[in-house]
Amino acid sequence: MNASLHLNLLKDDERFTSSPIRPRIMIPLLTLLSVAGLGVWWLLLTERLSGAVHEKAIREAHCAELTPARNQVLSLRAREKEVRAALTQLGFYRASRIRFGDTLMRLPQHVPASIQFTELRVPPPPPLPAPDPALKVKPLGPTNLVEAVSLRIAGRAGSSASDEAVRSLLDALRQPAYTNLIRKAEIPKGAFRQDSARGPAARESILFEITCACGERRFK
Amino acid sequence: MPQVSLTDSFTKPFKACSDVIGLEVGAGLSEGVPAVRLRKSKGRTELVAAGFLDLPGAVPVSPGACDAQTWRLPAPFRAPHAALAIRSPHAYLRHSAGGHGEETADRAMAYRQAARQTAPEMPPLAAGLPEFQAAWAARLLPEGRRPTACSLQVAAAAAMGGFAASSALARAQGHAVALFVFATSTSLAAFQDGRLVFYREHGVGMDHLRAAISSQMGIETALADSVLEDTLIDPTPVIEPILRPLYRQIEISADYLLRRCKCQVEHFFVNGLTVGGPHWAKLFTRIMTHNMTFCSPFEGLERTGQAVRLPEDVEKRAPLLMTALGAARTVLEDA
Amino acid sequence: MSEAPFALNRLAPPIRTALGVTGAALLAGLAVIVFGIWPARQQIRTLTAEIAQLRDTHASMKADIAGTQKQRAATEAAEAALKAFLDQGVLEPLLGSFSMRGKSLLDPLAKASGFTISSVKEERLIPLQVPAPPPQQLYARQLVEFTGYGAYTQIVAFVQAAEQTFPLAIVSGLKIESQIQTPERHKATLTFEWPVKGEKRK
Repeated sequence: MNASLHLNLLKDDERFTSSPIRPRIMIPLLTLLSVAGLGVWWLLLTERLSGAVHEKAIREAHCAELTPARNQVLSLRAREKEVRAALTQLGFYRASRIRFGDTLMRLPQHVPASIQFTELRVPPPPPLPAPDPALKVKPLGPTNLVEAVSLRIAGRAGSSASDEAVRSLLDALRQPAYTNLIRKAEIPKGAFRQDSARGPAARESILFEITCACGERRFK
Repeated sequence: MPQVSLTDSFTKPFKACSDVIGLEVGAGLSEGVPAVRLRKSKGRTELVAAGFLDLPGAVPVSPGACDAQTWRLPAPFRAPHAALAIRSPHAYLRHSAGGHGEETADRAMAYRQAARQTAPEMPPLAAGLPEFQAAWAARLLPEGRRPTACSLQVAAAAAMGGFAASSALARAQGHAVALFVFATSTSLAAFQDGRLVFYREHGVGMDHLRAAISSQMGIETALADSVLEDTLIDPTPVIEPILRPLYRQIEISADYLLRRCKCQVEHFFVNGLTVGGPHWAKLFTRIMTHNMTFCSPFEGLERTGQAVRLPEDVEKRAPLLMTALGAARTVLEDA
Repeated sequence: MSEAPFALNRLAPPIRTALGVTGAALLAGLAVIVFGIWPARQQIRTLTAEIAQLRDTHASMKADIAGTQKQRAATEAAEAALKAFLDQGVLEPLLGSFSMRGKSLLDPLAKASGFTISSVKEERLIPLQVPAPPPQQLYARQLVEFTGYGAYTQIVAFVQAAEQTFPLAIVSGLKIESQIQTPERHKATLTFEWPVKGEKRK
């Protein structure tokens, strides 16, 4: 109900806050403190960085000290690795060994008297196939791990009981005495025929051929 | 230092004032600067602290004499806000003829002015203070510590504002004539329905009474108060010539009020009188055939804090705190 | 109060100062972060990883060095095994010729067995299968063809003597043909192969 008698002569810009916490003081102050804090943080990081650089240098020096001795070990290791690889490759060769001497020595014992060998042949290894042109990286060596070996016996048998004589020989080649080398023996088709050579002895002979598949050479 | 608001929360953290200290600057009292701290809590106004502070309270009389001062108040008086009531011979308080009181008695210096309509169909009440004095007073309480100024008033308006909010006026149903006795003048205010409808200043104050007693009785001015307090000596013949013109003004004011509101003024209040009250009353009753009621500025206020046990001399000199209390009360009631 | 709040020229000097200080501090802080803190953290992160790696490297170096004796023994054993193999019969050319070397090796055996070597011819070089990992020095099979005459028993004795004396000499081709003119002496074309050093990998 009372009408106020407050005639205030104080201007708005003369009104101040009594609080010591004034935004226009606190905000710059806090910002400056934050920057100071960032500065301290930066100094600490710089110190830490310096320490890390020093530690890295020390560790590098330690590693450098050990490098010659370690290189020696690595060199030994590399040499061993090379030697073992060479031994492995040479081991492939050794594993592929095949012996003909004993078989050849035993063979005459089982050749009937009516049979005369004209040829004994073991064909040499076939040529290696050309590398696959589609391959981007050319292989360092042959990719086949086995190599077939065969023995071909060609001969002549007297006309009387020639069949039996050749069969007898064939059977002998299939015996345990030969199985070390010969896996399969057979007379190919058409390999048993009359001798067409001139002369009376030839007319009475039968030509034969026995093909033996020998044990493979395994390069592994 | 000017402040411009960026956001309300940034530059204008001023909530409504609920805890204010009133200070009367330029009172010229030997006791010190009158100070009263009031707090409004749950709709009640509490007296928190009151006293006379040992501060340099002289208002500069010229722009060249404005020495920068900052006041530091004792702890009980450190409210968040301060209302300063300035007592200056260059200040004015009057009804303006029309408009906002641009007419000034003294155009030799710049003035800071404010005006307010106090009652319908009444010219606005205008207050003015020289700019240099206003600026000087505004800087007395620096930023960043309690209190800081929220109000600058002329002393007479502050005193009236205190009375307008008092329980005494309320008991008189808002119709009363009130006197505000100062050292060198007395303000006379008529209230209708609690609103100020009439204001006059009379150039007679307590100092005039003391001077008359001193000269006519041949005593020192400092002893004049004891004469006024003494019941054995009747100073009425000395003071009557001085008070009679004042009481005549009161009569005119009461008559004005009767004509204006068609109501008889039954209540006459006196504020600010520390001594000689009985003599004033006796004379008033004889001349006006009415009784005079002496108001204490602390009347109707709950006491708390330092005010619970005020020193005896403060209690005794309570009327001298009328202006300081009025300045604080005006701010609280205007919030 | 209703004026634009961010018109700087309308702000009070203390507010302008506060804004200026705040802005400068924010810029300084940003600069410290961008040019100081962030790079430093990156460097520290990198260095920490490098230091950890160096630590691991050092540990592995020490572990390797600790096994030097054991490694040396293993390497020497392997090299001894290889030397034994090479000594056992990896063919080295004689005056650049494998046929001359082969003839030099088998001539005494032929003489002892009665087989007469009429010609020796260096045949093709067949690369050997390569293990994984492959060696730098690759090996191959060098074929050398011996042509001669003798009785069947002499031929067989020669083959047996070669196979027994040189375990790495393998008969990879054989052709014994009866001769009409000399029924008791046959023509034999024997292809022996030896392991030899092939190409060196780059």
